[in-house]
Amino acid sequence: MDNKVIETINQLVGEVRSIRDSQSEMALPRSAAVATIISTLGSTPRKAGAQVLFFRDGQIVGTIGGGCGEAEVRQHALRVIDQAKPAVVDINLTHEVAEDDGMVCGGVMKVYIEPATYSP
Amino acid sequence: MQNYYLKLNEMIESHQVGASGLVVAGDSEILPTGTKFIVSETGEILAGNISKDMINVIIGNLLKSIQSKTPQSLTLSKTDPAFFSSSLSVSSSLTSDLTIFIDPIYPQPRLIILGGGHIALPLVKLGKLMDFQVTVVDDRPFFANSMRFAEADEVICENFEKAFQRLSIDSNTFVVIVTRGHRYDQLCLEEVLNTAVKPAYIGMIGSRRKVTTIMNNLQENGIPEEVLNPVYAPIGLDIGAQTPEEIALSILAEMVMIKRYGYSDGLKNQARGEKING
Repeated sequence: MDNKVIETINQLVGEVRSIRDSQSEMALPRSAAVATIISTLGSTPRKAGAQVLFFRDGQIVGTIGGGCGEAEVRQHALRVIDQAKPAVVDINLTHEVAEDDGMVCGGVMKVYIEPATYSP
Repeated sequence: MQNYYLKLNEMIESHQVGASGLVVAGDSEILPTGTKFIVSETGEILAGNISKDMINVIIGNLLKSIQSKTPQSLTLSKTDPAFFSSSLSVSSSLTSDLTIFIDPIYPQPRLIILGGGHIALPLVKLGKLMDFQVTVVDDRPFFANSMRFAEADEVICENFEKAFQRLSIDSNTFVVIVTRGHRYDQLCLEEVLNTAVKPAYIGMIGSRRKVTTIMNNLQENGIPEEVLNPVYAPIGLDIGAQTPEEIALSILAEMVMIKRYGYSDGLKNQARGEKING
């Protein structure tokens, strides 16, 4: 769990509520998705519980380790925002691309992603 | 959902312990994917749309995560009798297996710095950087003021004995003793060792000789050796620190090691400048 991510989601929830209350047709709340590492295997930069919040506009709060692993999760997160539906993705840090970038952690991680204000 | 994040924030801010649950692979009827809940330290439901029966099925795992401060990903197979023997009504209503991510909630760690001198300045900065809630105590108004320690969450200007009545030390508190002299260091150490709940870390600055003198004094005052043993003194990891900033870094590094590993290979356990394992 990442306290800054939790705090930011709370702000976002507040934004959504005030926009709804104002009944403004101009304003739209910012869209974001939250990604949480739920399990890891082998060597990964962060462990289960690490969180990151990806905003559609590019802002990032928190980290699940940075580098191309996090970049890959961000791509999934943008899709999650568009589809407004949670997803679980497996991120493999063992393949060649990661090594080319000098990121040789060598582990795999399972990441759960959902829209930041998602409620089933 | 709104309640979930509000409750989480509230718990973090008011130093409550518990666990959050997140259904990452759910059952469309009973517990859809994305369901979130929060339980207290004892397993009482504080937020979320989940039944008491379901909590009872996973209560052992929830409490284990809270106790070990370790998250876990739990898969509940619909057919696994180990999970559902106690609650057949839960398993028979499920249409698929469940995966629940359990994440313990524990408060922001606290750093109490006793002594507002040279080392306290960089300690406050590094402590904030490492996300500690930081308190500084000194009995001299010139040193204990919020101008000097603008980043500290709390500055207490009070004699050290009195200050302890206000400190409420808990198992999530890291105590660093860096007062201006060993009379006060000894006094503070004695007070810390007398608190009802043991802090996560007690470190005291000083040379090996000073530390031995203080430990001997305290033993003479009737404090048994096993109570004194967990005190990290000399303080910090051996990085050859010389300046106040470097010393503060070595202390924070030791605190991180305690937080992550539960022990430290610090100066207490080795001769200065020598490696433990060759």
